[in-house]
Amino acid sequence: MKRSLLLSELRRGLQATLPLLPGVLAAALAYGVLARQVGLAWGEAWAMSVAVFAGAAQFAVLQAWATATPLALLILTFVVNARYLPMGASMSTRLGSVPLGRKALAFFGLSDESYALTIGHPGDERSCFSYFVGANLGLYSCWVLGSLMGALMSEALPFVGDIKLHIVFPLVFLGMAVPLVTDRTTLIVALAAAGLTLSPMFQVPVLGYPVVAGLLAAGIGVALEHLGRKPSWKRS
Amino acid sequence: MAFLTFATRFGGAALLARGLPRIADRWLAYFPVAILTALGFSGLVNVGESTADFAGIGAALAGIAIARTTGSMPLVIVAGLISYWLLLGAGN
Repeated sequence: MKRSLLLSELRRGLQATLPLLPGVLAAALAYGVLARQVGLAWGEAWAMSVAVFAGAAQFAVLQAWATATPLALLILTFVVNARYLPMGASMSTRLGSVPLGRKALAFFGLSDESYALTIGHPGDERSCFSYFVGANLGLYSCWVLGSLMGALMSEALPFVGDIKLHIVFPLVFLGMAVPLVTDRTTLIVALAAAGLTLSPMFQVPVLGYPVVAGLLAAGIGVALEHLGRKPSWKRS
Repeated sequence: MAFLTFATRFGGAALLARGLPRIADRWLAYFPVAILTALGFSGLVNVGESTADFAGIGAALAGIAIARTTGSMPLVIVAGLISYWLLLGAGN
């Protein structure tokens, strides 16, 4: 049976996460500290990271931990994670004929960062899948380890949240978006996404609003294409 | 929470297994550049905090410029961080 993973691409995916790991570690430490502060035991905080691996959702849930009902926490989880639905669909088309079962295992680790690193991968489906798994492994390992460290050493790490390494992630997203802008249509889509994200009507206290801006901007691209502007960005 | 998170991650792919209308396929083709740009700017610019906004926009522009000219992700991160911290410090 043909192996589905290319070790060379898996290693490259793992290596690609290295510039992001300081930011991931800082965020994971901060999560661990916050989890202890809201009353979770270190094992509970760590278990959440192991089972969920979704930083934005985990932080959002912790902030609402004391006041929200379990149902409200689930709704909050869905809203914060809603961006993964179109991301997963997008990544699935990129992975093409990789069996659905293997996709499911890999998609457990889908994150903004692994999506950003992988979606523009120039290789075929098998190499892209291997690269994606490598990126997931790097990010997941760092997140889980950092969460454990933060939860165990929370009293010694109150300063972690002051380190503004959180901007590493959005910088990576922009760094990955730039090479995807290859023609006028994709440039308009990118500008529309930026403009919608920064416009006042999207400044609502719902953590999923970037995905709404992204959905609308992508729709603008489809509309422009329908009006006769031919895109050149292609999925490999 | 873990199951719901996994469902959002895999839900899109599971739905796609049934096939996709052409318009949805084209929409997904533009989605990566749109969502990455939206996530980038939403993470760097928080409208209403003027000093941080200025620093965030500066970091975004520096990162985009470095990405365009060098294609190096470590340089994008370094340029963005330096710009952010300098602008934040200058604004305070």
